[in-house]
Amino acid sequence: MSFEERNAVTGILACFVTWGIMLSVLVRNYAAGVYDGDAGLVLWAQAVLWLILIGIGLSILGIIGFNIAYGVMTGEKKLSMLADERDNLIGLRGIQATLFVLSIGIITAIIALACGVQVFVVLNIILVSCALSSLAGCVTQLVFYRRGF
Amino acid sequence: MCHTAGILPTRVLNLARARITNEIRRLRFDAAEMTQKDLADAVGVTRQTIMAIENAKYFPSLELAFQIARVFHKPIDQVFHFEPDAT
Repeated sequence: MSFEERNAVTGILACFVTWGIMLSVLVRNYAAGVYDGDAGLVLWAQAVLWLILIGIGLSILGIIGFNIAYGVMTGEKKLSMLADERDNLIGLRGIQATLFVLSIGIITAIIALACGVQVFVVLNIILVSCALSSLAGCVTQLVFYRRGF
Repeated sequence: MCHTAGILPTRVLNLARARITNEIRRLRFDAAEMTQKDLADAVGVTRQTIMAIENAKYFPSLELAFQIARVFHKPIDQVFHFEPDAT
């Protein structure tokens, strides 16, 4: 498993953990009425920013942890961090998938806004589309690594 | 003739049928049983990429193909074979 392939696997795991935490916190806050009132969007944005920072931290820890675990399991003393032309091409396919899903999410959000849906719901549509696009990018990469390019 | 002829451009049809095979595994064996890792290090790619090329799961760039041929001191057409009608 190359470094970029390991990153794709870690990315999928990090997506589930990070976005799972994020959505559960937001749903819990929403149910508790934290986002009601005039300051609702401000509180929502602050919560999302904190959760993004936590997500970045978890992703970095996940990459380090997965690489250490992979090194122990395979017995490789020095893990390569090389990314070659195949990794770059597969990475581009991942970005394509990410942008495709993200653009669908943003168009959906704009349509929802045009239909008179609340801004809070529209922002959550964009947030969920970010989560799905990130996941789509990592899964696409992993599929190309496994199936061949 | 494929029923998509006339719908897809000829170039796309040709690419869809074309396959590139290679002799890397045999050449490695002939070169004192060179490992995939050795070859990967020699051309600056990962071992996984060499493995993917050998298994025809990845077709290398022209530059990488030339580099691989150079490692074995062979012309590129003795390492890679273009088979336009492989399917």
